[in-house]
Amino acid sequence: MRFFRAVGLIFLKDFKEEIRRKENIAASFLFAFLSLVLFAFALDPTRVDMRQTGSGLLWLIILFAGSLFMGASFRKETETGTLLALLLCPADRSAIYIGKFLVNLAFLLILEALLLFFAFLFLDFRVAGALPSLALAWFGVTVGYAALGTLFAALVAQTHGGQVIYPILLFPVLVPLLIAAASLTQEAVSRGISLQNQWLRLVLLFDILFLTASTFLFEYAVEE
Amino acid sequence: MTLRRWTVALWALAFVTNAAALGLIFGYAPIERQMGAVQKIFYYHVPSAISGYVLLFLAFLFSILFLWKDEPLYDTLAYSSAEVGWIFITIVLVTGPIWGRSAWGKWWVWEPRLTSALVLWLMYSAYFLLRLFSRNDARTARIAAVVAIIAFFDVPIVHKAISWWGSIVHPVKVTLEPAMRKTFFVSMLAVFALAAAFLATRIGVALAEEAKLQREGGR
Amino acid sequence: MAGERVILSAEGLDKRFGHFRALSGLSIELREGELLLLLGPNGAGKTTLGKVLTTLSRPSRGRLLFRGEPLGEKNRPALRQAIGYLSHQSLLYGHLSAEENLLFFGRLYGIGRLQERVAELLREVDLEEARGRLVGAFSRGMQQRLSLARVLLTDPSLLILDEPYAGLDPEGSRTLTHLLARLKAASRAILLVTHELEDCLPIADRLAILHRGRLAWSGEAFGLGLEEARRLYFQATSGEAGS
Repeated sequence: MRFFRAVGLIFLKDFKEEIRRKENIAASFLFAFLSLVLFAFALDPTRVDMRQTGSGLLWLIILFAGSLFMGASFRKETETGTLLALLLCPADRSAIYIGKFLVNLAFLLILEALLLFFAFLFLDFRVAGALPSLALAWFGVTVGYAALGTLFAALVAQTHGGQVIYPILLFPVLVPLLIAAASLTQEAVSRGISLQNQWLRLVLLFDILFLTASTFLFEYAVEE
Repeated sequence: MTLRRWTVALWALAFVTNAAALGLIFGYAPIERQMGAVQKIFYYHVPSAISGYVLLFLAFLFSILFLWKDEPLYDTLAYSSAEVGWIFITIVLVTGPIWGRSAWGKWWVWEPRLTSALVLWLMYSAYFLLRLFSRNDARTARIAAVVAIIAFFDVPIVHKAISWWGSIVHPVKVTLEPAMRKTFFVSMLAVFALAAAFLATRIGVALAEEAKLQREGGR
Repeated sequence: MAGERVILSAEGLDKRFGHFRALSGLSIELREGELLLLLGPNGAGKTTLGKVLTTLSRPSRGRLLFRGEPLGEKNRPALRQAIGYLSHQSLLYGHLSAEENLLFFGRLYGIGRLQERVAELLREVDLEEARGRLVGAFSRGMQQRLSLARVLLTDPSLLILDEPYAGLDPEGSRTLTHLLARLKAASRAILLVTHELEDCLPIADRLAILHRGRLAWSGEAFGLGLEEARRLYFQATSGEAGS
């Protein structure tokens, strides 16, 4: 029980902190919006079939904007040594990981919802009717993204040049998720997704595998 | 001392087997009907891929051992294996297109196995970039180990995802005549010997570097 | 005299960072009601020792005993619960208020009567007025006082303080010394890492001098004068480390 309590406390503390900080959220969300607009300029939405191209595009934006946000999740804890304070607590250290993972997951989901809305507005990306399938698919992919994103953020927090290395380390490992996300999005808006969908099962496998592995490896990532 | 002996022995073995393999490839194995002589690169391409994967698996194992036992030797073994593995994956990425050009007419095609190798190359390049950025930081070894472990867990998933992603061309199915099969067997041994020799050498160099650092910085 | 109960002891600690040996064969004991002063030149391993004792770092070799029991999965949480750590970093969240910081850590440690305790402590360190202000806006002195409050909040049996006098004005130093004396009287074990001998030598019970990762000297500090202590220090840290 102490474990879940710790997770809850860390989640709430971090959520509150990010909202007060504003800088990580602002940078990330603004970057996502900017990317959307840039893609409109680069691609001419009147001539491009957004349902085909849009799926992959949106996920590229989520990857980049998301990494801006997640990359900072542990760096800020090294500024005043609060990571040490957390490590000193009697609670299981993986509670720190899970708490942070949940915060990243929450903000990513908010980012994605906003992005979908603006994609509809600016790029005429219609998803009406497909929303439930899309939500399921996107949630699954985001869990995997947040799981590894949080672990890698812990890894590079105290590395010289960590901000630069973070996406280079993270993105190749996420290739299966990106492919799955693009395929699932496309299928969701065109035909709909059944629960037997092979991509969904891949995403589930990815999530379980990497959430477990990260929880276990986290301690090694943050030890002094 | 024993490592040096092993290294020499492995290079001798590599020399012999590679000489034999090259001899067989150009003197014995028949020229493939469709692709011509360029197909022969297959004899080095495929075993390089296998060697690369085996070495990366070793890097994975050594990384786990390093985290578990906290012995610096395991970290040395891990990054040596990763480095040689990366070299062989690079060989795959270079020989693949050469073969591909004659098979499909283009330098690069998004063929599933080649594409997977590309993603692998990216993952391990990042591994080395990480080590580059934080030279002799003790913490780096642990971080690198975690990365190597995650990367390797990802390998089968990357494969599955990319093969479903669809390819413009299907992986080339090569049917081997007996003569080709024998040649292939020898070339496999040759490449494995080469990989082992490289690995032994790399480990030797790494240990020497570390011994020097230890004399300079330790107590 | 100080009590004999050993709260935390270390036996044969080695800590390697790659090729660098930060600690070699270090054994040390922290006893109830005793203040152990840890001295040593920069790079001697004082901070590393603090990190190993507080479980922030795993030793490469050697072991820790908590209240006589070897440290393992079972008693590690108990050790962490009993530790109060102060370092030169504030260990506080800049975007949370003073009160929020204390409440957060208090809840993580499962402290009872939390609201009361927090109010009490804020009064004690003279930060009651500033309780709702974000810590990021605090002066260094205020941050240090709050860090101290954070340490005292969990009522630790074992305090490990890494250079707590750094940056304190004379009055702040005096307050800290008084506080440490009170904690000693309440049977807390204190490990104090410092360069500033003048402030804490009077209340120190034992002295340990670290040099290049080894314990170069350790013994009674009771009645030790400043001059004598300085002499011991220079003696212990002048030679090459023994093999």
